[in-house]
Amino acid sequence: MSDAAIWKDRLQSEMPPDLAEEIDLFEAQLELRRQEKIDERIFAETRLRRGMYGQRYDNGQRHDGVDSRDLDYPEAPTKGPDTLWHAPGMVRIKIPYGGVTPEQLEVLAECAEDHSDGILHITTRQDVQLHYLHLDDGPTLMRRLAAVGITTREACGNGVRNITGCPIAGVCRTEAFDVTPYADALFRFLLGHPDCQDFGRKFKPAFSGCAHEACGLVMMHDLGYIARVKDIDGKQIRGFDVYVGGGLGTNPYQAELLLEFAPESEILPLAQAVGRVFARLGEKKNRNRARIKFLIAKLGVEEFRRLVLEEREILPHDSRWTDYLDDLDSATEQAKVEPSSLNGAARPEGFDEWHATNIYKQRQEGYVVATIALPLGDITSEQTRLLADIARKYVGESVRTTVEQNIILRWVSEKDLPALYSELKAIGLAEPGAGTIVDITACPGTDTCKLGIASSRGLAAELTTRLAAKQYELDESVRGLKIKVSGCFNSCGQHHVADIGFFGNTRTIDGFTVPHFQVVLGGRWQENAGSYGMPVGAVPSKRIPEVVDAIADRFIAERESGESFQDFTARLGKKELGALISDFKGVPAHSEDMSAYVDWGDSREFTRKDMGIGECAGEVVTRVDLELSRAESIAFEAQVALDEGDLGKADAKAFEAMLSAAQSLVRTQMPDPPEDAEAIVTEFRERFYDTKLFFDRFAKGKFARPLFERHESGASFRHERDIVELIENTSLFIDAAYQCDIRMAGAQSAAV
Amino acid sequence: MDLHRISAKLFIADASAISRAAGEYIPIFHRWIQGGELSGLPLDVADYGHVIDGPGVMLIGHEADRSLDLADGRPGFVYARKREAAGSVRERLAQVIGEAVEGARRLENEPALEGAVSFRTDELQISVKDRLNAPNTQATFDALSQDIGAAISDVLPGAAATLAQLGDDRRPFTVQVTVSGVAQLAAA
Repeated sequence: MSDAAIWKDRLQSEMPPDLAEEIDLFEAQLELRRQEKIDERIFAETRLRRGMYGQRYDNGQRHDGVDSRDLDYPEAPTKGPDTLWHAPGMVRIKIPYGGVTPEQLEVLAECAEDHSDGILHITTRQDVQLHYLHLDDGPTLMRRLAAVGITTREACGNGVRNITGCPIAGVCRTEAFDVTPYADALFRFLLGHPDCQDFGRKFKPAFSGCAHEACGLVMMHDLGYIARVKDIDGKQIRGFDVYVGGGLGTNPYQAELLLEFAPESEILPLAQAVGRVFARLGEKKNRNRARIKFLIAKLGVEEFRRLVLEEREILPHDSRWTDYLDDLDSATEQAKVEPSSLNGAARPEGFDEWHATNIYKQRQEGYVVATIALPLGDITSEQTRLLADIARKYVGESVRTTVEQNIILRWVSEKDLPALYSELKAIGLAEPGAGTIVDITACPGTDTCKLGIASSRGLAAELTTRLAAKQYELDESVRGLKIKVSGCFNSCGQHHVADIGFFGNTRTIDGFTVPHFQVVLGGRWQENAGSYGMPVGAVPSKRIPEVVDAIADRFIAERESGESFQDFTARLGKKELGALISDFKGVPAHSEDMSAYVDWGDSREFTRKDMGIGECAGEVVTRVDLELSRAESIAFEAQVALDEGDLGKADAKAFEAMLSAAQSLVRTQMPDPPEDAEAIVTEFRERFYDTKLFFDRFAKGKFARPLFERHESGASFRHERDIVELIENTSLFIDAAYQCDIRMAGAQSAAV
Repeated sequence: MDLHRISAKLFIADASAISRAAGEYIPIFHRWIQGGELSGLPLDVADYGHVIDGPGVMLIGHEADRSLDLADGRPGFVYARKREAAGSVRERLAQVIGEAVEGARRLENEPALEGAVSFRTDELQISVKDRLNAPNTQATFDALSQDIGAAISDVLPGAAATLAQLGDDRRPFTVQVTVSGVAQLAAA
């Protein structure tokens, strides 16, 4: 028995059945791709939709500083276009609203140790990423996570990504109400939802408890909810202002108001309606224009609103829309320790500095939130395990990741703070400066990302080191500034909403490529990412620390009383700010000093040759292709069951595979196809068999008959050979379904 | 017992030789890749020097990772096998220990370090990051002790090894090995 099979057997009863089934399907798809029975593009998208992402150099090429070299991996099929099977990849693990328990932390730590490089990386959307992972380890890793309620499903690819939420929801002093149960309900509702499987690009939702803080950064999200309480006839009614169409990247858009004060009972169906409109009208082929922000810009928000409300009206009722509302109170966290005050407690060395920046007083008297500032969002497996112990001791279950790539412990009783600080310090997790200029956010950049242009992590590490050395000497107005770094224009480091933001690009100087960062100033973190910064020019990477110093000095020197950094940069304007950084654009000649031609954290001369094709845009794969691929996986499971002698299961899986394929064709004509076998077969017969759409030129309707026969006869096989024949016919049925789809697509394009 | 994810760590004799700049190992590892002299398929260098007691600077490979490791506050050189390896468990252990010794020896002789780094010859650490096949239990220790001792003798002839299991059952299987009879790596 293989290790993967033993893990599966051991964890089967601990996994939620739907997650277990998804992982089985993915494992079957892996095997089919190994046998090259699934197209590489379709496999890439199915892989991405399970959170398994490519990494830099996975095309088998790497520039080692002297020349581009082939990476001589063992022979194997590709795992996507130009993506080698054995090349290490990344797995993105969804942590909805950042909520994670000590038990989950322990399993994440074990997975990082057993399958990755022992580092957990917290992302700017509250996910956890593990790098340098082999694709073959994917199913086992997914099962280990699923056993503690964590999924990687739709963490990448063209689907609903992690749902982010304010990390201090429930303990915030200014929120309207705790958005946690709503974010959780939306996460569960949209995960794998049929209406969200046909997007042209990714879709990112977020929740905030109040409008004026940063919270969930709603204004830069595809779909966002800001909590509000309204007095209606003397009653305090909960609802949300709903925003759509925000996004960063090369064309940053602020979200627009879709609905003012949608009642709490409406937020799930609204999301579903938005998903349907996006799936139906969103761009599918041109990935650069496929985010929902472009659709809304094209239609106008009024028309988009009309379409969404129209769609909402015709949605079939779903009890999940409101079921969770009966149980909102159960989401309220219970403190593990009685409230207390810090007064008079002995303070260890370094405690006051840490307390000044890393502690947030909760609205519940006697409790605080403690922020663990992670360098570049990284934490080791061992630290994670020990942090789980600390969490259990002081706060129980109440741990969250943040979009600033940190971890917070909520419900810390104040008198415990000195002891908590000492224990965190002992494991290297008590760095002060959370939320200040030294707490820099950075995406993976050229370290691991195929799209990375410049070293965002290298720059962030350098700036952190320099600024941390002088953080207590910095003017108070500068200490509070936020720096965020992206490795390219795609903005994963969220540079648009930083006071001082950078994104990687390059310039050619005397024929040599020099890594640069575009400087973006004055973005607004508050007000849910309320406005984006202005680009003022590109500066060589190695001179960025000087730029930061110059900007800070100018701000201190010329800031008017009470003036914010946003107001200051707006007052100076692009021209003046451009002039401010212009002194730092030069570099020594290549022959005199090579250092500017080498990026931070690297020793190789800089090149753009290692950039690949990013997978964050997903593959342009139709929904039918994906669903037929899923049907093939079910057919594969039927074959496995047959090989194991489980004839009943083999028969059921083969029939399920044919039904799944038939349903995918029905969906092309019927947006809400039925789920039960009788209705699927009826619809398929009427729409594809009777009309001869399914008919092969030579075989006519032959390949459809096994579906009808199996449906009519039920599970009445007598011999093993009956099942063998059924599985063979299932494969032929799926092949015929592919051909039918191709013919229909051809007829459609001919008609156009 | 079918084990692959075996790692071996040799400790740097004078921890202060690793200054704040674990980063100085970045160009060294890049050069090792450029030189094409390492076994297996080396891929890239990953810098985790910013993480306290972390994996330091890693030379990521297809079959195995090498690293200037900073875990437990004790700098050392780690060779960590990741992918399937051939041979018996003893042979796999020997291969991993041999690669760790080879890597440490390379660092001792690395011109850029100007002889500042030398490795202890009286201890090393063996880990298996595979909770399925090698949980950190007495049973695993009993099952592997003989092979570990034999593998050390295979790589370091004349060495005598005393083994002690480390950590609790939440951690990867780890054995601290006290070695006698080895004067210096260069002679090993």
